[in-house]
Amino acid sequence: MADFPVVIFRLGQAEYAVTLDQVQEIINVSEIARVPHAPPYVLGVLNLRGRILPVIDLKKRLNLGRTEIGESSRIVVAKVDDVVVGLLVDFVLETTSLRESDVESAVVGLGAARGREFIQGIVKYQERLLTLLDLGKVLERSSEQEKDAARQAG
Amino acid sequence: MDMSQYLGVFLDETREHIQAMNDGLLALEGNPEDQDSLEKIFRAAHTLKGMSATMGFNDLAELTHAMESLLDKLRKKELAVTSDLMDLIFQCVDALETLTEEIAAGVQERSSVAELIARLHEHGEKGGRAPVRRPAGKAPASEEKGEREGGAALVLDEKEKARILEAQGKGLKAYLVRVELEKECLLKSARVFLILRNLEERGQVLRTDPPVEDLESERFELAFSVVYLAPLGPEEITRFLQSIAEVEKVEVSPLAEELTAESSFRAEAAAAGLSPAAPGEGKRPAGGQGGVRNAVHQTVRVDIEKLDALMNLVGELVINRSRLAQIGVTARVAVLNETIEELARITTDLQALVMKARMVPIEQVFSRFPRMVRDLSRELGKKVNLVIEGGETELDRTVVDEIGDPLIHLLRNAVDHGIETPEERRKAGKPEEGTVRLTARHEGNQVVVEVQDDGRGIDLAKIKEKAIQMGLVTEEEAATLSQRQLMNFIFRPGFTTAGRVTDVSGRGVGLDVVATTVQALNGTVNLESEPGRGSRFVIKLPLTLAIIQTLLVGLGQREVYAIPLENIEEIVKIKEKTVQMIQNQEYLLFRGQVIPILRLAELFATPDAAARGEECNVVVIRSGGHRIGVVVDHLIGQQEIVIKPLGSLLSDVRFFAGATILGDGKVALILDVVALPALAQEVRTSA
Repeated sequence: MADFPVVIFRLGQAEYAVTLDQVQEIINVSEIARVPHAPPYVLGVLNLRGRILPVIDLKKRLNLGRTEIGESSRIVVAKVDDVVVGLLVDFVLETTSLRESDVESAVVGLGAARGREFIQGIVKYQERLLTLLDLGKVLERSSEQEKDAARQAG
Repeated sequence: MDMSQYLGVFLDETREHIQAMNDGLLALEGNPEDQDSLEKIFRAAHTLKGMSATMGFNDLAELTHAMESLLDKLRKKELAVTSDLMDLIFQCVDALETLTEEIAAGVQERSSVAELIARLHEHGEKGGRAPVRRPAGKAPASEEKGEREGGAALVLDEKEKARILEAQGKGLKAYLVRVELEKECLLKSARVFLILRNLEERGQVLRTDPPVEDLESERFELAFSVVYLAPLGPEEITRFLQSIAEVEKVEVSPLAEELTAESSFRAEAAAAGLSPAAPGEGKRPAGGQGGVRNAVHQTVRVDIEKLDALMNLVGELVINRSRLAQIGVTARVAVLNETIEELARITTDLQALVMKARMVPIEQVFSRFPRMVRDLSRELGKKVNLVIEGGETELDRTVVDEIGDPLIHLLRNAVDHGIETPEERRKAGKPEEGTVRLTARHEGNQVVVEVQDDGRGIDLAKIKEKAIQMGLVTEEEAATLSQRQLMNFIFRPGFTTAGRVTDVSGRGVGLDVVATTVQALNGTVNLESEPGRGSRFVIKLPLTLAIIQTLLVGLGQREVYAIPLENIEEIVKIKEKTVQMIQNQEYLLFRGQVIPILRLAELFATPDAAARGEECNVVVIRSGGHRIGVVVDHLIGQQEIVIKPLGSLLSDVRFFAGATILGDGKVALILDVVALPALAQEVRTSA
């Protein structure tokens, strides 16, 4: 089975992974301009070397509450299908390789979990459990969750 | 001989010639005595004939040949311009167009032209005298005039001399190569390209006369000169150049000793058998091929992506210029500030140039309409005069490409549904000939395109009836709708009030397509109509100018927003107590007008918005005929900004037209002033 490189980061106490080829870079948090009337999980936009980068609060996107920006906060700049978006995370741990065979995509009990639609699978890595995110889904605009959110906001 | 490499050039040129014929025919129809237009059509047909024969497209060649013969009689006044004849020629031009598109699509001339040719001959015979045929492939006399060319004042500059000397140091020899193409040579630019490539393969082309751009766009007659550096002898050069097809004559003369002499090239050129050019003579003789080509815009096709990339880079440059300017203000170093000013001037020029490069006149789309309207009105037995105004109005290439189809729909609609038959018009006391007016103009940072007719107009009652019938609204609802709201039903899919279905329109397709296309371009379309008087469709499109002048305003301590200056009518400080509350909406009496007030910090729920004081800053915005007063916390100042997209993730956020990066690196959102009033209304009603 093939190995694939990932970036591992923390949201709260839980560890998450995204595949490295979907990550463009990791940057420090700079001033984010709020975008009024944007979906609630969108923190705003920032200046990434002359480009406008929308930044989303990944925790909020996954329905895990809000992120407090601190010293260790980073923005993982993800690029999926030409859409470039910054993901605010609490802590970037490492980049490493995971074995495809270690990805458990049908975990019992996950069905009920919040944010289930964004999860590609659970990976066991060095005695820890990582949640492998499906960034395509995370960045999809018309997910059900967003529609709900928009309804609440509107 | 394999012609496929020339196909692209051939198609482009053929389309240009067809357009020229169409234009000429319309002019001729308006004024049958118009000899210039006749000449133009004749020349286009002639050139097309030769081109297509060379390329092996026989149907095209035969048809243009037959047309040419007939046109020749017209221009010699052996035949009179009649409407039958005009129709026939128009049909032929259509056939040419079809054939050309078939060739472009890779279908080999499937349409038959035999019937048209027979009819052309028949018309020709009517003229009495036997047609004076010119043997195919042979150029008319006007093109055979010996013309001086390829030998204009060629004076080497210092750099070129240096390069020649350097090349000579490396054992290369310098030559003046004069190449003359065959008179029948078509697609001269392709030939030149081949020759230059051959030369480049074996040596260096230092310069050409006329310059390469002129050669590429065929702004020369038959001969041109090249200053050439190569390790070859003159015989060798002559040999390989003469092996290229359609090269008539090659003269290679060494260029050595005279290098230091100022006039060496003029001398060389003269030695090469060319008559010296009279000073200041730049014009080509009229009537030759050069004359015809000059009538068409000379352009270089550039990939739009390259222009976009260039635009982005210029945008970056503008941002950095603003940053530098800020540094300059703090640093107060005179030398630095001078440099910054110089840089500012250059960037401004560069920016203007790049913007211009992306802009094209809307004429490009308009040019095909006169023909369309003419055919349509004839088909429907109506008299229609199409008036086009503002064809020179420029807008972004991407917008121009998209706007054609909606305009076709609207024009067809105007001619078919709008304009009445001559009889009806007479009864209604109107002139028999209806007028359809197509206008374009700039209005703020938008382009307004209007299609107006003086026809029967649209009956609101009918629309209301139909909307109720289609279940779009209930009768009670319909009663409360404004005129404009009712009118807008016409843009719904499947909506038609036409009693009958004609070939042209009235099948319920069209106006919804118009609305969708225009909206996709970020524009709006509205309809105004008065029964008996006519209708007017008003399309407003953004210029999509990537760089605009804005007013920066602040909310709270941190938030900065940009408002396009184009939409700002006035900035005033008003006393809070002058604001009136009427039915949950604040209004301001301003210059005798009551305008609604929009508090931006409230609308955007700014966390640290300034508390309401005695006075407030109101930016009066004009948008789509409405005025609205926007209350902001602070006014920051005027700044030129680069519009950057917010990205697809935020494309649902409709309050903003984009974002920009300010001189200090901060991001400011750009207010979408066109959408703002309506959106504010939505937010208010849902709250």
